[in-house]
Amino acid sequence: MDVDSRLVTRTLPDGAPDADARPGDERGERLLKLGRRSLLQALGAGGAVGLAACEQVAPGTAVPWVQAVEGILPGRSVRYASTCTACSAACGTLVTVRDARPIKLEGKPDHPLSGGGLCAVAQGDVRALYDARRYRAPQISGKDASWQEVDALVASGLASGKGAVYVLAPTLVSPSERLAVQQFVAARGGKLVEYDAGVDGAAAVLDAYELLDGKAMLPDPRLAACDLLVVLGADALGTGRDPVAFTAAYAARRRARAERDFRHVQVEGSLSLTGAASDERVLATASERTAFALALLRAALAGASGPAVDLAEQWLGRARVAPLAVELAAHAKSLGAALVARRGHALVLSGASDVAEQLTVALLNRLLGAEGATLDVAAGSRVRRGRSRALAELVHALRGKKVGALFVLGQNPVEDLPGGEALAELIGAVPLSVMLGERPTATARACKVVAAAHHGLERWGDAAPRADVLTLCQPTIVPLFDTRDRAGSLLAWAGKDGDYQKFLRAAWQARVLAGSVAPFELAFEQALAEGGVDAARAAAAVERFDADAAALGARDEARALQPPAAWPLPQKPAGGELELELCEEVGLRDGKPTFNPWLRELPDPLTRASWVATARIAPSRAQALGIATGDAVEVAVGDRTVELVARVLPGQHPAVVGVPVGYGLVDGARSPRPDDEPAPTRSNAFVLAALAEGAVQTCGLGAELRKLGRKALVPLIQTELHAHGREIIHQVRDDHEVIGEHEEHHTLLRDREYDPDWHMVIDLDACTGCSACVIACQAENNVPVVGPVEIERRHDMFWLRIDRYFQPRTAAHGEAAHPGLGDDANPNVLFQPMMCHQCGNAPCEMVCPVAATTHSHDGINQQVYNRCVGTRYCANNCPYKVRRFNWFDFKPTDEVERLALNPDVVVRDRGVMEKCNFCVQRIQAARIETKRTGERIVPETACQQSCPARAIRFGDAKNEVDGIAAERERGRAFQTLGELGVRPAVTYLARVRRGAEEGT
Amino acid sequence: MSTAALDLDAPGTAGEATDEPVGAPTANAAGEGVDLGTVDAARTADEPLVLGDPPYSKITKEIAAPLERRPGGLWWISFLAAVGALIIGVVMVWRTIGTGIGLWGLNRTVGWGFDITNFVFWVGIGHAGTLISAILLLFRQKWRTSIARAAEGMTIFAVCCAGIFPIIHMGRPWLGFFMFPYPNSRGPLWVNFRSPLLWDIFAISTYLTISLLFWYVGLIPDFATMRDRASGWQKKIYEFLALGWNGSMSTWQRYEKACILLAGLATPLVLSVHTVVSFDFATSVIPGWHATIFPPYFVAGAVFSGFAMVITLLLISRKVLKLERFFTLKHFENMAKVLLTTGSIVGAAYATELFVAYYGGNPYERFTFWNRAFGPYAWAYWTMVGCNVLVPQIFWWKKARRSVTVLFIAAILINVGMWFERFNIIVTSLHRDFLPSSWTQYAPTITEVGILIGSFGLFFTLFLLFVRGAPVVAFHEVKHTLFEQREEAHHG
Repeated sequence: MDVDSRLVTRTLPDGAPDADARPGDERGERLLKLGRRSLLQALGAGGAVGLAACEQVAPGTAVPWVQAVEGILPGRSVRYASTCTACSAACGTLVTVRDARPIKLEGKPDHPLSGGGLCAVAQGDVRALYDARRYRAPQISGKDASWQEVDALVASGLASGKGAVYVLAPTLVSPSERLAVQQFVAARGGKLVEYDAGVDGAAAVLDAYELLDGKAMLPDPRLAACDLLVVLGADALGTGRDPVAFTAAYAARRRARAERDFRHVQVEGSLSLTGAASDERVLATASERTAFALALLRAALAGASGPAVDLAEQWLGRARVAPLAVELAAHAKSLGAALVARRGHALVLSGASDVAEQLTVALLNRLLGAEGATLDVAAGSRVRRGRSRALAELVHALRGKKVGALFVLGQNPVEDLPGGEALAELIGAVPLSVMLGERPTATARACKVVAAAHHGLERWGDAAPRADVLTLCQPTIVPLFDTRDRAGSLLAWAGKDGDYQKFLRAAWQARVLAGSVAPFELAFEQALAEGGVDAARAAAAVERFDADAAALGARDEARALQPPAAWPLPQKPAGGELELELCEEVGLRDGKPTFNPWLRELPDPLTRASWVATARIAPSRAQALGIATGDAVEVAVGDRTVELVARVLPGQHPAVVGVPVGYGLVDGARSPRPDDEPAPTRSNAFVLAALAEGAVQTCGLGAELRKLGRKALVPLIQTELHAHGREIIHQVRDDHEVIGEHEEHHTLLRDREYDPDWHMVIDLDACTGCSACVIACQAENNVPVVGPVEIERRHDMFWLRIDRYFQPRTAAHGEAAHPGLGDDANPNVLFQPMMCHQCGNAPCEMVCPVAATTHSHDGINQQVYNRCVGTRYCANNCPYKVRRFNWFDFKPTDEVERLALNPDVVVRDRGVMEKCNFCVQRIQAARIETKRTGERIVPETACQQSCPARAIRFGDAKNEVDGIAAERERGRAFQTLGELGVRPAVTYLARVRRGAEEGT
Repeated sequence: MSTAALDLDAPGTAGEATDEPVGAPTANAAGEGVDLGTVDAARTADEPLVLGDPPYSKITKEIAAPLERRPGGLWWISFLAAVGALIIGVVMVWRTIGTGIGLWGLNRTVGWGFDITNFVFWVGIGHAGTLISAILLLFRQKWRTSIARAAEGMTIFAVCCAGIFPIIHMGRPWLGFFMFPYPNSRGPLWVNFRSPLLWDIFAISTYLTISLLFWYVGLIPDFATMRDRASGWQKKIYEFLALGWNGSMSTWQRYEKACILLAGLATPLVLSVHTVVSFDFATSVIPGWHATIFPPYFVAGAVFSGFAMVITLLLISRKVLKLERFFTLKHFENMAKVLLTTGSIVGAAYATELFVAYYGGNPYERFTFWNRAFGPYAWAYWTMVGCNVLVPQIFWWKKARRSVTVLFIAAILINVGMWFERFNIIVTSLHRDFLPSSWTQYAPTITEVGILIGSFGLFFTLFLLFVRGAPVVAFHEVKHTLFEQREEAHHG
């Protein structure tokens, strides 16, 4: 329970003010000219009417509250239930709003999928809202224009009737928005094309199920029922289509291991977070993985029955691939046997962009009885709908100059599709090209009209990430700039009422809350307060939405069920010296948040590099090529090249080079320090992918790696790969193993007692390294961004970092393939979130000459910023090296960007030391609330709140209810560097390495 | 005891010349020939400490000569070079204070680098002066008389240089006064008496105060001499500085008492200052810092580096100021012996550290020392060992002890080595401490190098001004030594 977690129902005014009636174009500028106080006044005053309305508030309509609105107090945060719009996974959020501006997103604990966690990208969404480079007004041909001009231009363009009308969108997870777009498309005789830029292979899954069953579907894994999980080259935990929900389910399943065993085998070529979490990791290239899947399918035939057997046999007869190496074949054989042995409790997932492999995996799951058991095919995931066929059609139409009008809903095909540069020209040649986006991208530049769109936090919306989940998304701030809702714009251009809020409410009245006993307004308000509707209502509503969309012509053209003879064959093994595998990173994903400095600075949990794209190569291969970390290299696929920084990464397949997408986009984040050289822009790895018939091939591409003969800027926050044999992180074989005697700490001095005694317990077995906590901490605590050059100089400011160590797999822990390549060929990966340990006997406190760091009565190591003179003695004497010094003036200066600052936390000056304080502002707020209400409220730290795996627990070690004391007594509890006698208040639970199964 | 002849042209006027100028204790001690020194005491019988047996008047003339003639070309060149270096330092400090400590090569893991290295280096240099003037005075080492003044001056300038670094290394030096425990209106806000950095402030400010007093008190009779010789505005200044010295018997008596008293006060400080500085490191938890050997090791190192610096300075002054008569090879030989002794102590400390790191079995400490010797900063470690342990071994040979060239090169190398010792202790302990995830490298930036140059600029600027403004050799002490030397010769 948190202080402000009770949800506040918004008082909604009737009808939003008419957008067109107001001279809104001055608004953004006016907002900026206001001082802080008057801005807050304006926003606060507008809050009563304006917040609820998705449209702008004219000065005339902003009236001060005559009567205070219940639950809203100046200087006090309020939380609104909403839905995250940073990606299509649509996790549930609670938006913390302070003085009419959202300052933090928290996971919504009762959300059926995300369950309280949020990812790094979602945490960074607040920064995205206050990004200074957002469009502040609509534009025509690159010049600011008024909405009247834009509307007139679009209307005349549409009226000309030349060519086809296309809407290019990401997966529209919002059924109402989808309906609005469909209405526009239907009214204008156009077509909606959705595509997803990521590398998770979802498009291939949809294609595979269409071939197999005649109906495209994205089955949802149910890990709770799964005992053996085999993942082929997918990063479901880190960057999959729904990493928060998957991580939550995965961590829960691991926790339940004591009752029922769980084993996770990862088969991959490029190290991923999912591979890092696995119990057993097998190295295989993309083509080997396809062969591996076929071998598993062959093994799964044993004892299987049903129509799938026939299909599988036909398919196996046709899909011939190069035979597997002896060792991999042996692995496949034993793993196949293990899968068969756990029929109904096994699950195979693949991240391949190759339809043939996805077909094989779909058949495999069917044979293993996964469908309906470990794989939810009934509800299915709706977060990826991008179809290769539709995209191919659009590209074809563009090439044939048959497109008369193209409306792009924030997508960036020029940068995130292979061959995008050609697309830019084609889009430029379309008579009417409209970008409905928030910020400049290469695609937006290619478009004639920019219909500046609201940010997700300024917008109404809903989301149905699964057929039985339907949540609402409400605006939590008056639009900062002269922007419009993107769906509203389309509605207006369809000749309908452009008020999207009205549209959404009408859609909900008709489809979602139709049968409710309460009047609609009340029911809607309740849904708003709760963030959505229950599963049954959601399922019915989603069905109605689908039916209505289908009636508008949005039906997936039904395809006849295809026999195996017509299925596409597996891709040929790549030529070239190396195989390229594109991957995503937890911060940048498919590249959409590339403008976001928080996420650009977030170090990748595996490479520990921030700001720059790395080419990850195995140590053995690096040695052979004479490449070291930090060398500038060029990766080439055919004549397409990108420039990257080499990163020697243990656990890479020696024949694979892993390259993250999402970097080097033209409008990427800039360093906050103006002297910094811009990051290389020729590192957009999407250009390396292959685009054929709308399908993007992201792995198994033959690539070459060339040294450029110079050193590149390497913003690494950790250079060491190994723990050097130090007992920093413990591992155990199972949950019951006891690490050893908890050593008594002896001292001649009297140990101080603290009450309450705040402690944190971090379960390293649950932690996947996803880094959501890092960005949550940054958002909560106003941690500054320092830019790539300062990161390279190790001036990073993270209060919370995730240390990563590689550790050789011992024979006991199952040596996987490729022996003889050294300890780093396929090591274990250990993550350790590291923040201030709030030592009860703190070395930093003793050495500060001015007593700027002291201990509170409740065990918090406090940093008094205005007392600090900056001797850095405390940082030197910190064994955990968690103290951070303000080397320069790192405070954000931009007026808009400063709005993202948390008013509860001091913004630190140059020359001052800072560090984690267990979110002391939250502890104090909870303490005040406890005193006020008499009901004990346990504070929740920002990192703990955000953790999708629920790996972080926090509470009073003196209070049994919190369970912290019990956690600390567990067998696998240990304290890093506890032997120094510093009495750390952070306890870790050891990683459980079950190792490879006996006999496999 | 006839001392009337002693002071024919000593401080005061001719009319006062019959007053007893020399404190009894020193005279008595000389008479008894007590030899309490740790090093080979300079027996006047063995070798004269003032060459050529000059008349007292000549001594005054020769010592006062640099003050009374216009500065020569060599002085100007040195002075301009020193001021130039100082300006570089001022600019770099200005930039640092204006922009941020980020201009330095420090990072989240290595919080101290050149700044505290320079601080400890200069504090160390500042040891020799007081050691010579106080401890050697108490131990009645007569060879100290001609070099004491210059060494004391060096001490004060070195402590001034050292004092700059704790201030400028702060992130917010404009709030440096927070470091002082003074009654304030910010609530009951006090300093942290548990912090060794605070102890440093007390130790160093006390040391500076006592050294300054000692130096000034010693200068008073000499200022009086200068007052009597000078004319015009210079006379006025010397008159003020001489505090009305009249050379009477009672004045001399009080003077001698004050000297002994200050020597007594300064003696423990010589040991305490660097002991406290070493606590900055020894009381921490960082492997490579957390060592009980630090106090004696630091004091020995400080004496070592201080003497090396005294040798460097005196060799130059001797040449430039034509003071060969007073700074004799005998002096240098004695100082070389001090170098040999303290250098060997330092070497033993290095060996002990290595042994304890190995024998103690603490993996972090073991690694730190392995890393020092073979890690990325191995070059700095071996520079240190070479300069501090191997170089002084040459002074086993008398020829080397008496060779100006060898002495000069060795002293410079020892100063380099001692600078690197501090660099090693600070940087190589920090850059790879407990958690490998935080390991970094440190390299100074041009700003830090500029500040180091600037500190040398300040040091030499002050020293060059000093040799122009005050007698580099104490008139009366040298004359006393000369007197004893004659007595000794006479009796011998």
